[in-house]
Amino acid sequence: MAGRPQAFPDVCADAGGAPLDRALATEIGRRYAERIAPISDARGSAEYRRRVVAVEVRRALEAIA
Amino acid sequence: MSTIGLDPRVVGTQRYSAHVQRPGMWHAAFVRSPHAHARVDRVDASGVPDGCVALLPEDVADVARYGCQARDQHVLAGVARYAGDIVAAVAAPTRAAARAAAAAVAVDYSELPAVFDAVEAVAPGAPLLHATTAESAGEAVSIGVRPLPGTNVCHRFGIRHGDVAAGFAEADVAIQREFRTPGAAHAPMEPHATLAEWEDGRLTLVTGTQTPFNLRADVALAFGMPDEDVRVVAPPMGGSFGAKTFVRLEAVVAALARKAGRPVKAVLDRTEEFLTLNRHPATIRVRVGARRDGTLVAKELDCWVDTGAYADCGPGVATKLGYAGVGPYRIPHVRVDSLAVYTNLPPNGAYRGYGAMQSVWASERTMDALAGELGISPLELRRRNLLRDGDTFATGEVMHDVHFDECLGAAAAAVGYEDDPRGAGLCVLLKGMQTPSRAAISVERTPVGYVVRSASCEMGQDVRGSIRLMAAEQLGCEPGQIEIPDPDTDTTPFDTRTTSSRSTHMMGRALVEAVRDLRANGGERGFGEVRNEGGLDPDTGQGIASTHWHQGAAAARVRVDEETGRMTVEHVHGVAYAGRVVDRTGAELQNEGAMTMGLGTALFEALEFADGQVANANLSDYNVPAAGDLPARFTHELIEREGAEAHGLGETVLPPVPAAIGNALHSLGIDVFELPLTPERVLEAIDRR
Repeated sequence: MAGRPQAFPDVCADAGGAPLDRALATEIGRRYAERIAPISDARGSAEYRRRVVAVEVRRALEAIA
Repeated sequence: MSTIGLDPRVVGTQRYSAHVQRPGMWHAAFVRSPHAHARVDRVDASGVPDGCVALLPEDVADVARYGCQARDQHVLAGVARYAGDIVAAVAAPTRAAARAAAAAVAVDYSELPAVFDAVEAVAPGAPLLHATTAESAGEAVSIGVRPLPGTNVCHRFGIRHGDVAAGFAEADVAIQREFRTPGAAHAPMEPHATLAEWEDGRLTLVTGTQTPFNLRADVALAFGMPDEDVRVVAPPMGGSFGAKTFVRLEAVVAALARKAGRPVKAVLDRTEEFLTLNRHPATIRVRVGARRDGTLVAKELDCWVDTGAYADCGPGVATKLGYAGVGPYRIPHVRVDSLAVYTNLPPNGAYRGYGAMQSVWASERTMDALAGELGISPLELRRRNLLRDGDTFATGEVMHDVHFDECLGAAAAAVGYEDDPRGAGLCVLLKGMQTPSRAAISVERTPVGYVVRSASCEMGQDVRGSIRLMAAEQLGCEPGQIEIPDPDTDTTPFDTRTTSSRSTHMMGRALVEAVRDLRANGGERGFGEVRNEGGLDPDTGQGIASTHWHQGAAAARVRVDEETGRMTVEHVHGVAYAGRVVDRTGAELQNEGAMTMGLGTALFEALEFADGQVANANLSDYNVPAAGDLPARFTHELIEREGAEAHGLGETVLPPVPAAIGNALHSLGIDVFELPLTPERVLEAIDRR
C-alpha cells in the first residue's frame, strides 16, 4: 500500500476497551481504508486497494479476537 | 567430472547464438524511437566516437522493404511506427562502447498522431500507419493477403459458410458477447542474438531462429541477392515460443556488418525483448444462435487483431484465430471476419497458439453463456454439437481422425465435473497445423551410424531427440548413433519452418521417405520430402485449413475469496490428442509448458502501454508463472491411438486453460470477459452478479 508499514494507533484508541467483535473489526478496517493513500497502477487501482485493506484489516483483527 | 552423456543445457556447455565469436567481430547497439509515431527528420551521428561505425538512413537506401506476409518493414525506420522502432544503429569493439555510441546519436523527430487500439485504428479518421505495402511472395505466405486499401487493415480473413441470416432466423435463442485479450511477452530466457558476416559477396547469419529458410529468402530479397548467397545457421535457442521467427535483427545487423566491413553481433537486453515481437491483443465479438434443444444453428465472429506497427505474420494469425474461433462444432451457418490491424505498438507475431488462445477464450466462454441461457449443462451443450468423423467444418472440409468428444470427456472426468460442476469449467478446442507446408530430410551413413540433416530448429522442445528416436527405429540402430547438426541452409534440406507444432509429424513422414530412398539406393544416403497440401480462400474461408487437426481440452476447478476477488485455481487438467507418441517425456513436458503459459495468460500476464511505450518491460513488473503459481493439482494426459499419425501438441493445451478457468468462474456467477483474471476484475464481476 505504501513504502512503509502503515499504522493508525488513534483509530484503535477510539475503540477504547470495547469488545473486539465483528462490528468493531469492520469499523476499524473501514477507517484504515479511509486513512491510507494508495496509488493506482497496473497491479491494482486505488479503490481496489482501499477495499482490500478494509477486508484484510478486519480479518486480521478477527483472527486475534 | 565427466559431462559425457549429460544434457548440455544442464551442465552449462550448451552454446547459443549469443556465444558465437568470429575474428574481428564487433558488437551492435540500436538507436530506438522514443515516440510511437514520428517522422525521422534528421539522424546526426557526429557525436559517435571514432573507432565506431554508425549505420544511417543513407547507408541502407538500397535495401528493399521486407516482411514475411506484407513487405512493410525497413532496415531503419524513416517513419518510426512504434516506441522502440530502430532508426539507426552502431557497431563498436565492445558491447558497452556500442551502447554508449548509440546514446550519442541525436535524432530529430516530428511526432505524428498515434493509435493504440485495433478497434480505434479502423474507425474513420484514425491515423494511417502504412500508405502502401506489397504482398510478400514466398513460402511464408500460404494465404492470399487481403489488405483494405486506405485503412489500417493489413489483412481481412473471412469465412462464409451457409447463410447466417437464415440461421439466426431459425434460432430459438441467440446471444452476443464481446471479449478482450491483452498483449503478452514471450519472455524466452535467452534474448534474441544474431551475428552477420559478409565474405566475397556472401552473407552468413548465425542467429537464433525458428524459420531459417523464410529468413534466408526475405533477407536475400531485401539485399537484392539470390537466396544461395545468404547462409543461415540456426544454433539451439534458449526458448523462443514464436519470438524468434522471420526477420527480426538479421537485416539491420547484416547492414551494420556490411558498413563496418567486419562481422557484427547483436544480443538484445531484457528491455529490448519487450520491444521486438509480442502477442496479438484482440477484441472479439461472438454471436451464436441455437435451437431450444441446444443444437447450434448459426455463429458470427468479428475479430480485431492488433498486429502492431508491422504486419509480420499477423495475417496468418488473424486467419488461424478466425477459424479456431468457430470451435470444434457442427454449425451450418457461419460468418467470420477477422481483421489484422496496424497500431503504433511494437509488432506482434507468432506466439505459442498462434491466435487460438484469443478466439478460444471468446468462443468457449460464449458456449457457457449459451448453456446458461438454454438451461443445459455446458458439458452437454458441447457434446450435442461436437464434430464427429465425416462432419463438415465451417471451412467446408470433411473432418477425419476426430477425437474432440474423448478429449472433452477426459478433461471433465479429471476434475469431477459431472459430479460437481459448481466451481468447475471446461474448454474444448481445435487448432490447425500449417497447411500447406513442405518438409525434407536427408540421411547419410557414417562409420559409426548416420547423419540426419533436418532444418527443424531446437528451442528447448528437443525436436532432435524425437527425430533421433524415429530415425533409430527406422534405421535399426541406437539413437546415440544418429548425429543431427544445427540447421544450415547451405547443407540442410528445405523445411517450411519450426512452428505450428508440425515438426515431429512432418519430419517423421519425410524420414520414412528418406529411409526408403536410402535402402533402395545402396544404403549410403537417402533423401525424403513430403508436403501437406491445402489452404483457404481468404475471402470465403473455404478450402483445407489443416490436413490434420490439433485437438484438445482443459478443465479447471477454482475457488474464490469473494471479498477480495482473489481466485485460487485448485486444479487444471489438460488433454491433448497425440495419435502416436514418439517421445513420451518430451510430449508430457510440452503439455506442462503449454499449460503453464496458459496459466500465466489466465492469471496475470499483460503488456501495459503508456503512449505506446511498454510500461512493464522487465520481469519484475511483467510476471511469468513461477513454481509457486502452479495449482495444487496440475495434471495432463495424452490420448493415443494404435496406428495413428503423430499429432503435434507443442501448443494444444495452452489456449484452453484461460477459457476453462474463466468458465469455472462463470459457474459461480462470476462473468469476466477480459484477460487476465486479476482479483480486481473478478471482484468487479462479483459486484455485477
